[in-house]
Amino acid sequence: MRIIVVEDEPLVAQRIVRLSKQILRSDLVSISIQSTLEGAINYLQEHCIDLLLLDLNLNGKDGFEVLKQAVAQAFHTVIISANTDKAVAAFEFGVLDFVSKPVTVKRLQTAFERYHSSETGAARSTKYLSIRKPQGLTLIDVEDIRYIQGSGIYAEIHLQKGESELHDKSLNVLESILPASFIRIHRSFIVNLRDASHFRSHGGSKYDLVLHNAETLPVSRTRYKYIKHRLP
Amino acid sequence: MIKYVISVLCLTLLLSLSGIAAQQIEVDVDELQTAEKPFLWLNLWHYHKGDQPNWSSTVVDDTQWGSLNLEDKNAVDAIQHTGYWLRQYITIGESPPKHSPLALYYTNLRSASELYWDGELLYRSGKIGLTLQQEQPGNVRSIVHIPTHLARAGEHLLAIRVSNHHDVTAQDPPSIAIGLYDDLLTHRYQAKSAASFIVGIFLTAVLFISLFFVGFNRKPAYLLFSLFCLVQTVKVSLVYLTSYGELTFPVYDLAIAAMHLSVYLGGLLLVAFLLDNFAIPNLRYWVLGCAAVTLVFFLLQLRVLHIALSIALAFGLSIYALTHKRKGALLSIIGLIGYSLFSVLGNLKIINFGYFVGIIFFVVCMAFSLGSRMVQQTRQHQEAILRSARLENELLKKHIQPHFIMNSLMSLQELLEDNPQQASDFIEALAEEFRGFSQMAGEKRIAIGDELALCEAHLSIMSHRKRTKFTLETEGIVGDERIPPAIFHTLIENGITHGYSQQQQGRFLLSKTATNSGVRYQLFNDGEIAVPVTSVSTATQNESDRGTGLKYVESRLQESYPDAWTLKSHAVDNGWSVTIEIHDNRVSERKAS
Repeated sequence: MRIIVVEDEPLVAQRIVRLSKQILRSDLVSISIQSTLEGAINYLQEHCIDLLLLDLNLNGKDGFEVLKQAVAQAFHTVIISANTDKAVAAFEFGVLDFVSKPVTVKRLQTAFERYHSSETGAARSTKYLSIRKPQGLTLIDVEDIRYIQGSGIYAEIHLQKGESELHDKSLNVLESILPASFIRIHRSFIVNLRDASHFRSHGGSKYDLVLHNAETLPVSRTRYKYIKHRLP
Repeated sequence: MIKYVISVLCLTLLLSLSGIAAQQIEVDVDELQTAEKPFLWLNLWHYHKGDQPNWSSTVVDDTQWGSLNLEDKNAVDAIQHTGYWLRQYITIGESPPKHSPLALYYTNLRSASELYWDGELLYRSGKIGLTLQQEQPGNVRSIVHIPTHLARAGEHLLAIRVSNHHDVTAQDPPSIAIGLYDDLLTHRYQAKSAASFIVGIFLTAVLFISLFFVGFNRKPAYLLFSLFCLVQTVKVSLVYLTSYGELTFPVYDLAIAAMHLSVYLGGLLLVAFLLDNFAIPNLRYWVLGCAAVTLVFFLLQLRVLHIALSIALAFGLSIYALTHKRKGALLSIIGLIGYSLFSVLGNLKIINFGYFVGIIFFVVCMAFSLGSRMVQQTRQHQEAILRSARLENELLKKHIQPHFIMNSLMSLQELLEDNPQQASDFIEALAEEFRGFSQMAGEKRIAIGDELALCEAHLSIMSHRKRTKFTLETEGIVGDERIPPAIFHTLIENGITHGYSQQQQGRFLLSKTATNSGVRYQLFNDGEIAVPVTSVSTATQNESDRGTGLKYVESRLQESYPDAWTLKSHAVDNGWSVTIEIHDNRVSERKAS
């Protein structure tokens, strides 16, 4: 795993690195510390990472702008902060986890496990997805999403109004942060269950999911039973 | 009252015009009973100076005696003798009923006298003596009951023997009247209850305003106003006593003198109160000047002029106060208008005790003005207490804010593994800062030495945490200057948070310089100048975050130096600077205290 720690307190950063090494051992490919926002942004432009461990309070600057920027990218973000009252808001922006300071080995381990876990986030409270556009960041309300189609390392988000947006996160990453109403129906599709209407059989245990607007999406065989169970 | 006056005036006018043998008067009980004429003034007398024991007798021929009109100006000459007699014939038309006897009323038969009715001694005031030593002064006035059996229908003789060894230079001729006993008493009781009522009002005012002064605000104006009301209490009591009370002569004269004195004092106190209340410039000279003028008026016995002058001056001061937007000026003017108006009405005998009703009106206006100001002050005071409590709360919150504590604890965790010696130093610095905070939490001002110790502790903590060597230098600071708690600590905290993301060293310099109007503290640090990162646009957040700390400092300064400070926070060459100026000449005094 490739990790970047963005933290302005050297000792705290050092501690996070120490604990990460202790937990991940050989799984840890690289870990870098950035103490400023600018440094972090520069680093991210040149390096590919899997996980961002972010302090919400950097040199007196409010971390939410950083957070919106971070969650628009492909990697997962875990917040490490002393201000636990910011946790709810952070989750709304689609972070994987929120670890409060001082960080314990056990708690950090849970966060890493959450990263590795392929389970859908049963109790995620993500409300917005942050999308990078040439003109800047845009926030999408997850309630506006009809379904998401995977296309390589990107995801194409189809909205209620018929538009679609590209997101830097893969379907796997998105699946782990989206609320429980979003389920993976296919290798390439995540659907908002609220928009699902019924199944259409093609015979031979091959099914499509028909949405309220009559669009059809393929359903993988292995998931059919589970999805049928959850369909409203 | 006015009816009495008019009827008496008409009567005397009639008598003097008609030229009737005036030393004879007819009393009609029925007429007296019909309220129109409750008593008759007996003004025209047979007069003889000297003293003969038989002059009380009905058989004495007084036709050769002189005639005296007590209302005449020259009546004064007639009474300035050690002894004289007055005789008058009174015809009673019809015997008064038993339940409604007649009575005589007199004033100023000084200093001792005897009243004879048909040759019989009816009443003795004091004890007439042949010499000053032998003579005992009697009552200045009395109501003398005439037993019904003596006042049957027919002609009667009233003879009065007056002896004045005590005050042959007396200025006030006597007044004598005959009327219904009940009515005369009622008249006196009415005056008494009116006076008691007014005294009650003034005493209440005295009590309340003294309480304001003692328990609330030691403003001289309150004391002066309270004294003003006290003087009015004394004055109205004396007016009653000298006009209606049964005082003996020496006491009466003292009471008159005291009443006159109270007029001057009242005027002076009124002006002094307004001078202080409206914070008139050169207050002392004004008060001294007014006192001197009052003394001159007192010596020249210009009472009425003094009253007029003090009211005029009071008007002047109130108008000045109104144009200078002083609080309560309008109410004062309204009060003074009422005061003057009622005084005039009182003087015209339209309102009994009108002068005092006027003063009560003024006192009520001023009490309302002082009261509402007090309410305002109380509110401000409570707000100040609330503000202090909030600031104390803020200070304590600063010291337990999670960002500081949790980062410190986590840094400590790391140090414990990485460098136990440093961990120990770090704990010491933390303890030092916590101790400092808890000691100064409840204080409004602390010694700057304590503040610097707190700053050093914080810098030591942050040196560990940030792996940056922070230092604090001072210039021009003695150490015992008093300042609000944690203001420089807050500014240093701000400086570290925003200025040192990359540097290895940090230098703070706190300097103090004297200015014309007070002192200037300047805190410089060599941190980076926070340039907002455009890509994340944190500029506003940046400002407001820096702002919370500054707001605390500003609130503290306002609490300690209301409206007498300025704070500037700005970038300078190679760093950041915060300048606090305190424009207060009393800073040095505070330091001493």
